[in-house]
Formats: sequence, C-alpha cells, structure tokens
Amino acid sequence: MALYDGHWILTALVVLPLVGGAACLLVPEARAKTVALATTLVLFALSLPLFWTFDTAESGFQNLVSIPWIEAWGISYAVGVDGISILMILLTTFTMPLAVAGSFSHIRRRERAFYAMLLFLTTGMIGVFVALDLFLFYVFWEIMLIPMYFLIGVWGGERRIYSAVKFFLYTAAGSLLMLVAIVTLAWIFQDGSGAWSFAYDDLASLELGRRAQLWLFGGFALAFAIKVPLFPFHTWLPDAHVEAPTAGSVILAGVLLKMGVYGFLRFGLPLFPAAATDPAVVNAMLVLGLIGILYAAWVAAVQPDAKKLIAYTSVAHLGFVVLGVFGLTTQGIEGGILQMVNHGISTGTLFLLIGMLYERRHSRRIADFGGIAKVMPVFAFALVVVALSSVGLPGTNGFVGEFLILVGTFRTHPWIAAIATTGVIFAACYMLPMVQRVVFNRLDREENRTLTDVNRRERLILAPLLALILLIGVWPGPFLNRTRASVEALIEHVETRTASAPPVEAASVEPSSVEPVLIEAPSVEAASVEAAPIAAGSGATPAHISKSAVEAGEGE
Amino acid sequence: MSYWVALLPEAVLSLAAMFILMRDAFARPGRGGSNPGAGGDGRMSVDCLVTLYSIAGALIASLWLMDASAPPDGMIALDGFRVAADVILLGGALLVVSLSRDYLTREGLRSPEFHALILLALVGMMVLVAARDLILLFVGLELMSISVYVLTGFARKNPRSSEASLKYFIVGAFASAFVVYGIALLYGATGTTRLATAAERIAAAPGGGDLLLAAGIGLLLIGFAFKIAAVPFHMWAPDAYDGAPTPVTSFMATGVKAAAFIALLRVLTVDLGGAAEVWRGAVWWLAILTMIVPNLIALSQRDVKRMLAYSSVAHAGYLLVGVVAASELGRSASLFYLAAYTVVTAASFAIVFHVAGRGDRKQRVRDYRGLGWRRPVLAAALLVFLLSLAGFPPTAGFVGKLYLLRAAVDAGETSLAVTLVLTSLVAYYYYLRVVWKMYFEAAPEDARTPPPPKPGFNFVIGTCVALILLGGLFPGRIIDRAREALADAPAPGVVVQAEDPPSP
Repeated sequence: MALYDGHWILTALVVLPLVGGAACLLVPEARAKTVALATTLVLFALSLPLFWTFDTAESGFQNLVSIPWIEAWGISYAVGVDGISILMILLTTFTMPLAVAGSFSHIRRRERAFYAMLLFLTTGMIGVFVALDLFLFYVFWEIMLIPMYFLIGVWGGERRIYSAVKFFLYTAAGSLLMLVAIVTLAWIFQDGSGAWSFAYDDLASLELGRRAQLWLFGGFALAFAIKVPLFPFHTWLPDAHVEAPTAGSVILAGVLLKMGVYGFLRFGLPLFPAAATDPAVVNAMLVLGLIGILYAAWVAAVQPDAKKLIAYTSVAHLGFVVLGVFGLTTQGIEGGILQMVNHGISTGTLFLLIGMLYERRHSRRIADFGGIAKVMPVFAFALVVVALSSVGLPGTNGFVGEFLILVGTFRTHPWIAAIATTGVIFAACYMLPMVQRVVFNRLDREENRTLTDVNRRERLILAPLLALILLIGVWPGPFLNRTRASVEALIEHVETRTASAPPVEAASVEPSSVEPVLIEAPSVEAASVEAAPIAAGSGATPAHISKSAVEAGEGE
Repeated sequence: MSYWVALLPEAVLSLAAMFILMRDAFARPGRGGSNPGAGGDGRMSVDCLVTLYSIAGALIASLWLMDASAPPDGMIALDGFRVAADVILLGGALLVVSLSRDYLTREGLRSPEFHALILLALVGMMVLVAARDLILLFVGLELMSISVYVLTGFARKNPRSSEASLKYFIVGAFASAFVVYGIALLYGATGTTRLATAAERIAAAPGGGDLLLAAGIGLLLIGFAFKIAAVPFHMWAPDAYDGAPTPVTSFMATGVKAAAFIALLRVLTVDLGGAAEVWRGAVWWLAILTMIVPNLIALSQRDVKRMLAYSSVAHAGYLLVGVVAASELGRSASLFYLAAYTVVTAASFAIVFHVAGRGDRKQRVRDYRGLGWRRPVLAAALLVFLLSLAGFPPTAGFVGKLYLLRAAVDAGETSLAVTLVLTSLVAYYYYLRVVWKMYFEAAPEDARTPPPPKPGFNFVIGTCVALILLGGLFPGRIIDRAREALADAPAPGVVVQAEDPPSP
C-alpha cells in the first residue's frame, strides 16, 4: 500500500470536491451532473482504502499531516483521522454520489450552481471531520453553511427563504459563541506556554479549572447542541429538511446532523472532561436527549407530510445518539457512532424514497397515497426495509446501534435507558402506520394507478443503501472494530482527567467525587510545553500545562 | 536626510491637487464643454489619472519613509505605525477614485473639483494620522473635514446631497469645537501640545486624579466619537452617508472614518496610555453601544446604501474593541480589521452605485432580486464582500474579527468579545437579506438588468476580491508585517500588504 500510505489522501479528499465544484461551474449546463457524479465517485474510491488500511489497534490519529499556516498565531493546517472520524468520513463520501445521482431528474434549473454547491459542501463536511486544528475546524464548520444556505434557498420548496435563513442563523448563533470559546482556549494556552496555539493536541493537553471548563464547554456545547439538534434547539431542522431539495435533505440527515455529536466526541469530552462529566451537565444532556426521543416521536406520529415525519425521526434518532455519548461508556459511544452511520443511511434513504415519490406524484401528503405496492413493488420493498431499519428491527443496522446505546446507557443510568427504550416502541408507532398508509391499504386514488416503479438509475442508488443496511445489521464487526481503540482511549482520557478519580459510572452519581484535582504552580511546568508539537499518531500523549485559576468569565 | 522628507507623501498629493485646480481654471474657457474632463468618451480623464498617479506616488514615498526616523520631539511621526496608516488611507482612496469614474460620468458631476477635494482631504487625513502635536492634529482634522463637507454636497442639483452636507457640516463643526476645547484643556493639564512630551508628563504624574486632564481627554474623545460616528454621537452619519453621492459616501466610510479612528487609536492607546483609567471605561461603553445600536437599526433598512451606512457605523464599534484592549495586539488587530474593512466597503459601495443606475434610483434591497443570475460575476463579488463584512471565513473580515477577539480576550474583555460575536449574528441577517434577494428571489419581468461594468471597474473589483480572499486564507505574512511595523522601533519592510493597491 505504499502508494496509499502517503499523507496526501485526506488533503485530496478536501481539495478534490473544491476542484470538482469549480469545474461544474465552468462546464456547459448539461454536463454539470456528469462532472459532479464523477467527482463524487472518485472521492468515494479514494476514501475506501482509508477504511481498509485503518489500523484498528491505534487509538491516536492516523495519516496525520500538519503544516504551519498562520505561524504568528500558532495555526496550522493539521488533518488526521481516528476511530471517531473514520466512519464519518466514509459516510460522507458514500452519501455524496447517491445524493448527486438522486438529483438527476429532480434538479432541472441552474444545474451548474447546484452541483457546485453540493461539492463545495462536501469539502466543508470532510474538512470538519479531518481538521485537527481548532481554527481550521471552525473555518470548515462555518464555510459549510453557505452552500447549504444556497441549496435550501435556491432549489428548495415554497418556504425556502424562511427555512434557509433560519437554518443559517440558528447554526451561526451557536458557532459564534464557540469562536469566542476557541479564542479563549488558545489564549489560556498562550498564557501558560507563551505562544498561541490552536492545535488540537496542544489545547487538549490543557488542564483547566472547573469553572473555566464549564464556561468553555458551554460555548462549544451550544454550537453542537444546535447542530445535533438537541431538544429544544431543534426547530430549524423540520423546516430545513422539508424545504430542502432531496439531495439537501439527504446530506442534512446523512452528514450534517452528525457534526454536532462528532463535535461533542472530538472536542466537548476531551477538551473539557470535568465539565462534560459534571453530573449536572450529563443529566441535562441525557434528559434533553430523552425528551428529544419521546417528543419527536409523538410529533412525528401526527405529521400529515411524510417528509416532515422523517425530519422529526431525525430528532429522535439523534436523541438516542446523545444518550449513548453522555452515558459515557464504551458501548454507548461505540453504539452512538454506529447509530450515526445507521441514521445517515436509513434516513438518507427515506428522504431519497420520498423524493422519488414526490417527483412522480408532486405530493408528500401521506393521505394522498395508499396501496402503491401494487404499482410500485420495488419501491414498496425498499420503503419497508428502510422503515424497519429506522425502527430498529433486529437484523437491520438500526438494531445494532440502538441496542449498544441502550446497553451502554443502562450501565450508568438505568432509568434513563429504561424510559428511552419506550422510544423504540414509539418509533414503530409513527413509522409503521406511515408505511402502511403509503404502501399498503387500498389503492383508492386514480392518480396513483399510473405511477411507475423505480427506474434503473434509482435502483442503482437504492441497492448499495439496502445492502449496507443489512450488512451492518448482521455483521457490524468491521465498523465497530475501527472505532473501538479510539473510543476506549477517549473514555480513559476523560477518566484520568476528571481527576485521580473513581470510575465515571460512580462519578456521575456522586457530585462531590468529580472535583478535578488541579496541579499548582503553573509557571514551573509551563516551560516544558514548548516542545510539544503534534507528534504523529499520539493524540493521547499530551504535554502538561497546569492552569490552576483560569476562570473564563472573569476579568472584565 | 532632512526631516522635511517626512512630509513628502503629503507634498506629492498637495501638488497634484494644485495642478488639477490650476489646469481646470486655465483650460476651461478653451474647451467650452459643460463637463470638462469627466472622461465621458470612455477614456480616463487627466484629473483622474493625475489623482491616481499622485496617490500611487504618495504610497511609494510613504513606503520609502519606512526606514527613516523622526527626532524625538518631531511634529510628524516617522514610524511603522504611520506607514501602516498611510497604506490603509492611500489604498482606500485609490480604490474609491478608480471605482468612481463611471459614477461621475453618469451623474454628470464635475471631475476636477471632485479629484482635487479628494486629494486635499487625503492630505488632511495623512497629517491627522501622522501628527505628533495636537495643533497639527487639529489642522489635519479640519483640512479633512472641510474638504469632505464640500464633497458631501457635491451633487449640487440633488437636494438630499445639500441637506446631507449641511447636517454633516453643522455636526462636524460642533465636533471640531469639542476637539479644540479638549486640546486646550490637555495643554492646561500637561503644559505642552507635543504628544510625546505630554505622554511623559502623564506617565510621570500619578495619573487619573487630575480633573483638567480627565476633562481634556473626555472632550477629545467626544469630538473623535463624532468623527468616527460612534454611538451615541452617530446621528448624523446615516443621513450624511445616504445623501452624499455614493463615491463620497464610500470615501467617508473608509478614509474619513479610518483616519479619525487611527488618530484616536494612537493618541489614546499610545500617548494617553498612561491615563488609561480615565478613558477606558468610556470607550468600553462607546464600543458596546456602537456594536449593538446600529446593527439593530440596520435590520429594518430597506435601502442598501443606508443599510451599509448603518453597518459601517457598527464596524466602528468592532474597531473600538481594539482601542479598549489598549495593547499592541489591539492596535495591530484594529489596523488589520480596518484594512480589510476599507477594501470591502469601498468595493461594495461601488457595486451599489453601479447597480443603482442613473440617478441612484435602484438601491433598495428589492432591486437586487435575481441579480445573482443576471449579473453572476458582479453578484458573486458582492457576495464575497458581504461575507467579509459579516466576518465569515474564508475572508479577511473573518481573520480581522478573530484578531479583534484575540485582543479582547487577551485584555480580559470577554464581555466585549461576546458582544462582538452576538452583534455580528444580528448583522448576518441583514447581510444575508441582500444575498437572498440576489439569489433566491426572481426578478420581476420588467426589471432592468444593470449594464455590464467597464473592464477597469471589473479589474479593480476583481483585485478587491482577490485581496479579501488572500487576506482570509493566507494572512500570515500580513500579520507578521503588521506586528513588525507596530513594534516600538521602526522596522524595515512593507506593512499591511492586503492594502497593496492595484496599479492605475
């Protein structure tokens, strides 16, 4: 694998869509879709070996590249991949060709701009997952908003402007406070070591006071909670999902929603372990996740619009993921990561299916359909399989993820897990009737008799998705393998940092035991930090800086 | 090398202004045209050429002065800070002048006076930022202000222009009075008008307790707050900006504001730094108010020019954060932000008057509907500028905002940092509104598509886009240079490269 073992691959994944997007703008209108599809297919092909060559025993970052960018500020172009991001990257590259192919017949105007936006968005998404410098991360995180704003605003449905602006402002609101938190974090590092740095490893090595951690975690958490979206920050999501064109919805559900949880795993937990394991924070997150699961399920159950129904299921599914992450157990987090992939696949497929239906019938109202299994058997088959996966039927991917999450959470928070389990039942309560009313029942509308079944292109789109649903359902090993080492290292990092401490399970029940022990005398140790660049593949061996009394809120 | 060379850039500009005025006075009877030299035939007029060349000459002279140093009690500064300021001011003027050609032709405005007044105002600005003596500072301030009062009322046939000029003049004269009174009291408190000497005396005395000093600083601050349009001294700004011919608005929002701000930055944080406890609280409030109020008012504006006017008031608030930080980091952050802001503001006002068409009729937000698909290149440029104003990556505006945030956090002003980001969230909305009109809404059937801009215009706008993106993606060199320039000893090299102007 000498060719592949180069460090150019992650950079290529970031740059290629940018180039492809520019190419889309330049070629004739009719060729844009071909260019876009080719770009995304090459992208997927490039990313696949990343999966095979991934070293499952290594918990740190692989394929690490770090090039100084703005040296005066300690900003570098640093990218790498670990067990937490590998599946996210692949999910992105896997989703994109399908999203592009799924738009072929749907997007009829301004195709060049449309496919260019899709590709620019891809750059932003992959960038978010590979960035190991907080400045770089923030740049990608923000840049992503612009193409999505355009996708919803230009090619969206009737209330597209409202939805696009709402999406933009909600997301930006969170990220701006995160920017202040990032700058503060870099300043704290500078205060201890004398040089500014935005590098992930440098900042992860900081030992912050508890109060500072809570403030900074708050800044990050708001951005991530809005992106997840965690109840009650979820209201942008149904609007954005419903109004976005099919490809936009697929990407929103498939990839964008994963960024919030990814942020928690990558930044929230490791940078602010004391805050993230603070019982109040953990309980708040778990309860919000739980409310998300139940509330979204109930709201979904009464939606007349199939697309909106699926949008709400996202809130519920992501609620499960948050549960898994803040249960703070290996199984829970592993399950959470896998469930993010599952949600991307199954909800993405559901949006594609609804999009196909909409193209034929120009309606998304559940009541307008019924009995279309007779005229669209293949479509009906796909919808049933995906709906079952979304509900979490054993044998499909959804089951594996939800099961791991529930088991993991049960170990630390049995009651929360018990209540969350009812969410699985509610999921069946909204999903199955929808399927029944759309696909089965009587074929009592004349318009529906003439619907044509999915064509070859659409089958080609659906086939890999359905295959993956079943594959992960029966053989999740290869996927879990790749996340395990990093997740275990993460848990260990959080535990050791949360103090000379009892295990997290106990810590989260007993408030008094999680007080972090702060090492005094910052000035002595600070000197040793200077020689701590990002060492290849050693995310977990940070330099030690002690900050005893850094309080973010102080000093006005 | 005699100390006189310190005035070389100003001398170049003044001579050019004299030349333009003289040429006009003597050449006019022979020509007989109603609008001589406006370049109506598509060629660049002599006035315009002379102006551009003299600004470029002043820029070179200014950079050449980089290595020189002034005697300790000199009246004119010769250091990196001055060169950085000159580059921002001259670069901004270069953009304004090169972009306003078409406007002058279209609106039938007289070219010689316009260019001469711009040059004279520019001399005033440069004296203002270079002055190390309060009297000279006042001279520079007045030369700048008076020239701009006239420029504001330059469209004589337009009553709104005259109204704007009168308002600006009355408020401006009032503000100048504050400045003079402040200077008098400062003289009373320190016994000198030399800023360097005053700084020493303030540092030597147990500062803060002196009422005379506090009153002097207070009055000076109020006067300057009027000039940079900081809330609550901003009332004149939207009307004056709105009524003035758009290139003049652009000049006011970039050059005038930048000059007054740089002078304030230097006088307060360097010379009066010893009395920081006197002014810091007041500037803190100015910054907070100037960030919040105009951003909220801009939300309800339906006119793009007026919206940009309010937004430029809000940007003064962001800049003041750098003053409150009162550190070297704060100074370099403010200058970087100012440079990015100058490029973007000059360029976006130019696009606004291009889209507005003859008589500035189409400058409401709704007139931008569908522009993104009918003039894709122009709209894309405006998109970049709006994103930079909003402080969105990967533009120079984002780096500038990050710079200011660092300065604020470094100075322990977390509340200012939070206010800065929350108010820019508000600003997102009104910048985005223009974007969604351009791209998401269709133009009405009978709408007139703005004509394609001239190649020269496109070239300048393209250069601005490139500068903004370069400043956003690779700001490293610029930051290094800015820090070198602002280090206490004058350092060799070029400053703030983002401002490197397109050659005329």
